[in-house]
Amino acid sequence: MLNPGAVKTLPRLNLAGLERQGSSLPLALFRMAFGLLMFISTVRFLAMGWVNEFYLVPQVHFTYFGFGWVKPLPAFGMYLVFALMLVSTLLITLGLYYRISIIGFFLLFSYLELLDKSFYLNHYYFVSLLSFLLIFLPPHKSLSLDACLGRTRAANTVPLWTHQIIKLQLALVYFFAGIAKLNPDWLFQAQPLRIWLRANTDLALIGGFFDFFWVALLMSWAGMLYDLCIPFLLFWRKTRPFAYLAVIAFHILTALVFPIGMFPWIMLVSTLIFFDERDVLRLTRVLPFLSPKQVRTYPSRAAARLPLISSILLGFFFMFQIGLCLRHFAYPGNVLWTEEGYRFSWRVMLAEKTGQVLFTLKNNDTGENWLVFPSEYLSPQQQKQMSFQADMILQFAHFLRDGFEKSTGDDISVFAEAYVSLNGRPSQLYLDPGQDLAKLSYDLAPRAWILPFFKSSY
Amino acid sequence: MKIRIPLFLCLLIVSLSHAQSGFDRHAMLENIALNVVLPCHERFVQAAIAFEEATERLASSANLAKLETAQAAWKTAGSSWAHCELFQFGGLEIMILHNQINKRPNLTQIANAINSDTELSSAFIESQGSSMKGLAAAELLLFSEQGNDAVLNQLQNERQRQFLLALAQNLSAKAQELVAYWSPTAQDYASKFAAADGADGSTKGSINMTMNQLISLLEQINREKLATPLGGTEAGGTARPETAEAYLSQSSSERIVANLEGAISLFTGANGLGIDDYLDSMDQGLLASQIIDQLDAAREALQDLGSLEDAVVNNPERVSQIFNVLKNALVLTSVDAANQLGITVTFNDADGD
Repeated sequence: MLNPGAVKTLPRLNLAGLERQGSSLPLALFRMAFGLLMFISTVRFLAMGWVNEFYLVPQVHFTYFGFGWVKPLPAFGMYLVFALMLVSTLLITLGLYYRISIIGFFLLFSYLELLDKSFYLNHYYFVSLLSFLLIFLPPHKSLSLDACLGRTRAANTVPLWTHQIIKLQLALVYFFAGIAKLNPDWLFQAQPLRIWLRANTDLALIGGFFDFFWVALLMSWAGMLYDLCIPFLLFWRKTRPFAYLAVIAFHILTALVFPIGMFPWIMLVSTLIFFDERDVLRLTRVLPFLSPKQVRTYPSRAAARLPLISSILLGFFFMFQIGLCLRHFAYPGNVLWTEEGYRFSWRVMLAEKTGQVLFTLKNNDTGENWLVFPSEYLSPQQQKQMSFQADMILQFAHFLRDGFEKSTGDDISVFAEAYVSLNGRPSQLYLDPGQDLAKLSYDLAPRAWILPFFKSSY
Repeated sequence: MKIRIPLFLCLLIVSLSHAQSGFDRHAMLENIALNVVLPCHERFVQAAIAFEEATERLASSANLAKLETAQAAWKTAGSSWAHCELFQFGGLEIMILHNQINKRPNLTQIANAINSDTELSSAFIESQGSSMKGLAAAELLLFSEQGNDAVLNQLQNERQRQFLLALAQNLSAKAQELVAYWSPTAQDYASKFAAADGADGSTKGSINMTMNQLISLLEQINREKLATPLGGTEAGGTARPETAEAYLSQSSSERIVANLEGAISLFTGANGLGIDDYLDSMDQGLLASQIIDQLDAAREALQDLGSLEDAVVNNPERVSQIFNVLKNALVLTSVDAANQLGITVTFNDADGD
């Protein structure tokens, strides 16, 4: 409901409860943990040598639709981006120059993610979303250098909506990840968990069980129920401690079994935001230095209402995310197979997919044919990702077309012979091998040249 | 949630009282290390020593009989090496060692060394880069497009013979280094491999490496050893036999046959447990036998082919057929088997999902 009295000055959304205040500590702790984790993540990225391997070595980059203009910088520039990102993560952790640091981090991190979809990870997308949200929140009102130095007015309380919106974001991730698991492979074949567990039977204590189908099936269902229920169990105070124990158990297990990098740690830290006022009070009893000396509210009660423009923006922000999650309904076929609408929709660990693709080029002016092995041009990671994703195969075909048309001045056709295997099924031809990819445009329309998926098995 | 805690406790308790079930991957890796990889390298050492001895006789004085003996010994060493070529497991030092044994040579550098005053010894070769070492460098001195008279003529130059001997001595030393690297009585990489102390500290590490090497070899054979000499990777498509792996010695097909024998022995574990048994334990026996059939079919076809260098010019359809058989083997390995085994077909450990 709009507050008519405020419309003439600064329009504000006055939804019941949104102006309620809560301790600023959870948000401040969240900021510190987020900053620290992003610092570790960035250091890890550098230490792995991935700046060079992902951004500098490859001669081709698979950009996202509409973001073809995003290009990697030369080596110095790329390392500068990482250096600035390191600084911003430290400043976020310390709460110094918070607003500019979080804006900087969001822009730099998102720039890196937009460079090449071969390196797309769901949790990178999550980090981008979270850092965008954090731009609008006041997590630097306590436990921050900004507050200590008087750069911002210190406050013990912040509007509760600033907590709720992060919870909403997390709930959305879990919920759609749970919905995505409602597919026959996951629920009845226990795939791809069956494959991944079988490959980890040497894991201490529980590894011996991973050979059994019923264990994979049980874990698939537990994972699905976990994703669907955990946001609600975390929201509800009575179940919260147990739910958080489940969060710990779930993410530690996934960290042990799967090579998913920082994801479990990001979720472990992020879900801490569900602990509320009373939990914080308990914390301040254990750690008295965190307890407020005098109560300061941020901002004033009236200003705590969400500005209309921000609420519209945030409304769009969430609607857009939900739209992305549902966009696969606009495409025919199985989304696990076609991958049309797969990214940015919390389809986490749903597919064990492998592929192999060989390109044949034809010079239409001279009639000459020749083969192109993608390994001549792509890094192993790029090659792996491209081999089972039609949009990337199309992009690479266009890269080949453009390169050879430029060097020969002739008309070039590009054909792909691609074989893909999904969740333990035998490989099958993925694309129409007779389709000239050079003549197709790269757009978001359904790709009729992806061959139908046959649900056979060995 | 109420279900989860008892569930985990239950899993924990039963697992503690339960030995590891199913396929014994450790035993498979141990078998591959001790009964496939190590014997292969030991045979390569024997072949390298035989080549060194033949070269010693040639170095004292060159004649046709000695040259032919040395050439035959070189071919045997080349095939023995090709058999082991895909066992490039371990760190950077093994990659360097493999390069030192067989990498495309630099003819100019070799000619410069021969024409200089430097003492030509195994130590000199050791101090040089990979492009002046190994089997491929020796091929340049032992074979010629103009025939053996031309080679003998070249070998009248004593420094040419000295260089050849130094190459053979260095090759034999490198072969022995490889055996020492794997041998349980020396550096014992075999144990590390079996314990999979390779990529990620689990048995998946060595299985990942094994499958990736197999996939990499099959792609290399198709791309570099077959498609390129066929002229299939360039517009125009004219055969380029000179790009075949062992063009001067006309022994490229023997090399690929040995490559495939190595691949088959790795996949089947020779007479013990191999990847095929592992797949079989997952009810994927059919897939395993399809892979073996394709590899075998390609190997037999190459054995019947004779000279690859001739065939790419005079019988390109037959070479294309072999290419297609190996392409099927590559799909079955890198797509179907990799999917079943849940391995990462990539050479880095970038995070997933």
